[in-house]
Amino acid sequence: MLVLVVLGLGIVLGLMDVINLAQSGFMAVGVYAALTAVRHGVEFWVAVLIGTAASALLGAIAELVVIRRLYARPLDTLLATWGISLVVVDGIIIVFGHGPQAFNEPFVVGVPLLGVLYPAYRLVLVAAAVLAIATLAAIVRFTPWGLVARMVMANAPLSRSLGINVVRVRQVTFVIGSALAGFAGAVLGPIQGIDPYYATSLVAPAFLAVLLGGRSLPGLVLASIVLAVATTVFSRYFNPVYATAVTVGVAVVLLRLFPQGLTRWRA
Amino acid sequence: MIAWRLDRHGVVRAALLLAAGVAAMLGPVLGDPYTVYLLTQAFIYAALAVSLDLVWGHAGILDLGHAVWFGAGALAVGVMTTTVGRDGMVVAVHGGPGTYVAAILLGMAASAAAAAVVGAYCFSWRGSTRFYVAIVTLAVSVVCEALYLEQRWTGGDNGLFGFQLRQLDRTAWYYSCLALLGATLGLGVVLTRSDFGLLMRAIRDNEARARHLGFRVDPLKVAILAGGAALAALAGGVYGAAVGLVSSPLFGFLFSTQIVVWVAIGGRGTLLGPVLGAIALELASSSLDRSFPDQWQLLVGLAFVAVVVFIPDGLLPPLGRLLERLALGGRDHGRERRLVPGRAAEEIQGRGSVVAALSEVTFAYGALQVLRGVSMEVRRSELLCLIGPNGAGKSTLMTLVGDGTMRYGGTIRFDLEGVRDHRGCAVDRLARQGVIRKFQTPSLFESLTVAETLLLARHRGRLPSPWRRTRAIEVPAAVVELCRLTGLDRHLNVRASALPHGLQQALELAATVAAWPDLLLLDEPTAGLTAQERRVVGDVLRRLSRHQGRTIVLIEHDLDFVDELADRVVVLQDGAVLADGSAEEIKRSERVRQSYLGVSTPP
Amino acid sequence: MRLEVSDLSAGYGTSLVVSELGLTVEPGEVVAVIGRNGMGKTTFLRALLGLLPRRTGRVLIDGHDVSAEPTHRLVRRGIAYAPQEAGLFGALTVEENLRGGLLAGPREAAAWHEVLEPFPQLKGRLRQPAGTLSGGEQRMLLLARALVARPRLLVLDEVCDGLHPPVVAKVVEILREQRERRGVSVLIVEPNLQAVLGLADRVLLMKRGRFLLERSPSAPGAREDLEHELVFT
Repeated sequence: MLVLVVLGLGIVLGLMDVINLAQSGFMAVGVYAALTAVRHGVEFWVAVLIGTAASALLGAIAELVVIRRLYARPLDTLLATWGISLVVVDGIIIVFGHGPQAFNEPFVVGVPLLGVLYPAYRLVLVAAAVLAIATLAAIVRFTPWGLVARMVMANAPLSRSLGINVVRVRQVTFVIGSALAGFAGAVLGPIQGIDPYYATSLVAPAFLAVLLGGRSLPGLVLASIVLAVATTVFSRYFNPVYATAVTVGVAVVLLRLFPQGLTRWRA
Repeated sequence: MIAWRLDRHGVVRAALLLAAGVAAMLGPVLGDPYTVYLLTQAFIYAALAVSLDLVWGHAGILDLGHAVWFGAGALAVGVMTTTVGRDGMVVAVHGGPGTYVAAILLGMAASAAAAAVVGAYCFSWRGSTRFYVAIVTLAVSVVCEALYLEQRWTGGDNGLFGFQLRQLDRTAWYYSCLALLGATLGLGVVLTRSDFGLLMRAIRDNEARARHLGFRVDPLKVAILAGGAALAALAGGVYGAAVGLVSSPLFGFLFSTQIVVWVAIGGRGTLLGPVLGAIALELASSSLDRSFPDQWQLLVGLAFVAVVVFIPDGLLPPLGRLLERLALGGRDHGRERRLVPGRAAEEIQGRGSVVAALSEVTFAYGALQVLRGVSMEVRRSELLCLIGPNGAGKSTLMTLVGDGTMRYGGTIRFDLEGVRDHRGCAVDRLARQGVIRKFQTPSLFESLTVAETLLLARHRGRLPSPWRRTRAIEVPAAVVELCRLTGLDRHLNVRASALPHGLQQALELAATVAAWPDLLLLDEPTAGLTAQERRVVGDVLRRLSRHQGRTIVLIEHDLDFVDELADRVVVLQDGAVLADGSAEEIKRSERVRQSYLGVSTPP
Repeated sequence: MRLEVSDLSAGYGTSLVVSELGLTVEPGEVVAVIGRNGMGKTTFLRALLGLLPRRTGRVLIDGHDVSAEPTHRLVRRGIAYAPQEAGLFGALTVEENLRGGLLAGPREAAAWHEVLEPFPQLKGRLRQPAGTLSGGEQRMLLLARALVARPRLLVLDEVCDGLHPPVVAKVVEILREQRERRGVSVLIVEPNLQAVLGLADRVLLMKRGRFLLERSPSAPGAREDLEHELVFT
């Protein structure tokens, strides 16, 4: 589940050298927008789309006003994006209050799987995650757009000298990243508890997953799988809180051993 | 001594501070009890903000989990003065003032130790970046907040409460916290105005350069982080004793972020800015909290983002400048220093003996083989020029000689007092032993003046004083001369970032010389200089080598320059030595000529 | 393409590396800039293309003033640039690097395969990451990529650096062919005087950021003049 968040974060971080802590804010916008739509009688999947669009819009504004000015200042980007996510939290509190919100799954059906009744919605989510990753991988690898994005990520001045409008590329990738985060937020809504701090606790592990994954998509997937598995395993033996702590500890140590990410073996 | 120059600026500043101090002292008399209570808390927060400003604003370490140290301080007091019952609630409070003091000290020690562990982990590996410490400290904060809830001894969900020191009444606490703030601020001011403060800012501005001047940057950063943690724990301990509350949010990322916001908005690196930022924001939020708590938070968040994007230095510096311009005008003499020539250096023995010997050195950059078996000697007190076409490996070779931690083949041996074998010696260790490299493009400390840079350079890795503020900087006579000849002496108190390129190059050179190296490695010292400037540099180098016995290796493209100065010339091509001899011999060599004309020669 | 540059100055920080540079490249002409290292040749090319901010100066293409255009738009008018350093995407394959060159010009697949003709070593290595090629092969790839977009002006920075003489001769031949068959203008920076003499219509010598000398290789005594300045002062 971490995967979708990580995806959004990953695109922006990996492709643009932007440390984007605002992803949690975009996730929250996505889920709250979807929630509002559902409350107004809109059908679930359309509401999800609305949530995605809302996040994309917010992302476009953020990129224009904030991110674009900070490309040369990575640490300030970290601070500013963190500030954006907190501003989003504050905004949500103003509109929706502090308390948790209920967001019902669109269909509550059990699917028998390996002798256990597994909620269908979760399966759908897993399938969606896999599909999203696959699509993204395909786009990045095989399309001209993906090539351009990879070129800008690797060497922006060189890309400029080859005729690429680097500013535009960065803007689009950021918006796509925030849209993805919004989608992830909206879609995970029925499973997670929704409150204004919806995604902020996910930020640190998601971040570590991104750093651990290095700049490559397979690395990102591998890292988030590793972390998700670690959390699940530790949760079995320890209290879930301890499990998170241990997972974070593991991630920090792994990052030290593989500073370029899990897929590059040379430390 | 700590010198307080009393010129117009100094007098006005002192007067302002005095007025503020008096107003603060009269607080309990003038204000209502609630405001007094608020101010008491605000003073504690302000002290906490100072501790983060020292760590982040001055030394550049972004500690996103600073609240943890504060919380630990409060927790120490709570744990030592309460007993927790079976159901996790506080049952009894005990302990006299002595216990509280002991608890505060214990909290400071524990925080410092924990911060040292975190710091050692974050800073001691080659690929460490500024992000890493930010993320790790953020993670620590998140984890601590969560773990807090799981423990019984911390009070779990409810935390510990009711353990405030009742012997002191509200007014006494007001003055105590004011004293805390005063002491913390005072400590901060002394530290940042001292020579050590220069080193902190140097590490913030250009860590690599600080290493190349011989400073042990990693242990220093650990020490600074630990010191900041101890100060934060002190504030936390006082908080615990005054308010008698500790619970998980005190450790969490929201509070950590709040501290960062105070420092960022107030003005990072100014000490006073964060104090004012913390007090102002806390007072405003308490008064607005009753009516518009959420809107206020939103406003603060937006202000934070706006400040980070548009006014990264925070609000205090531009306000301060505005005030100064309105009220005063005139120059600030607070940063003035001057140079004093030091005693003459001893004559170097062993002129002509081998000081560095390279044998079959190979080096590859990924798949690219840059050096293919370089063998040469550098002799004491000579001036050796390294020339050759682009891509021949000259810069790489020089970088390698200055950094023993790179992976290379072959051997490099020195004949210097503290180091024989080059392999494995870190950059700062080599620099302390006298092997100092000047970078090709000026790599300076932006916020330090010329004089301050030279002061640090002169230390060559020794720790500067944490309280002394040296005004008369003793440097080798050659440096004074260099400054005079290049015109640097007229810019001694100008920040490095404000100097024109030629003077930046001159400062690069002066700083390298001020460290008084035994082996001076210069990478294109005349790049971008005018003919006049080049002559000056040539003079200085010749004198350093002939009269003061320094050994100089320099990379140059300007063959006239080489011709005039060099005792010996080594020509590098395709990662190997093509020719090695006097300037005359090289000039007459047909192979060298062909190399420059682009005909590739057989190896 | 006709390129005119006048009064160009640029530098890093507060210093000026090149000043008051002016030159013209007529359609189908080959102009070479020579000079020893550190003299500002690369800075000149980068400032020309807008990769480095120009302190002063105007750039005209076919008579239009393009001084205010950002690099990516300038380049799309038909310029292909092969830089001296960091010119390839090491992690991307040969094929991807080549496709990258197509973005600035017409996207004709035919052009691509046609371009690979003179570069047989590249043909078999399309899927290899560009960073694993040898130095010489990387230069070939740089040149191929520059040609892929069917440019009207080639701007080459030390493309022959480190190549063996037969390969240099090959490069010279390719450039000559481009000039003859398609009227491509070439602005080439090259410390290798031999290569340049066989190719250029005009040679300018740069020293300390200024043009010191201009000669036509065919003129009597030109070669000696250039050699002298290049090696000895």
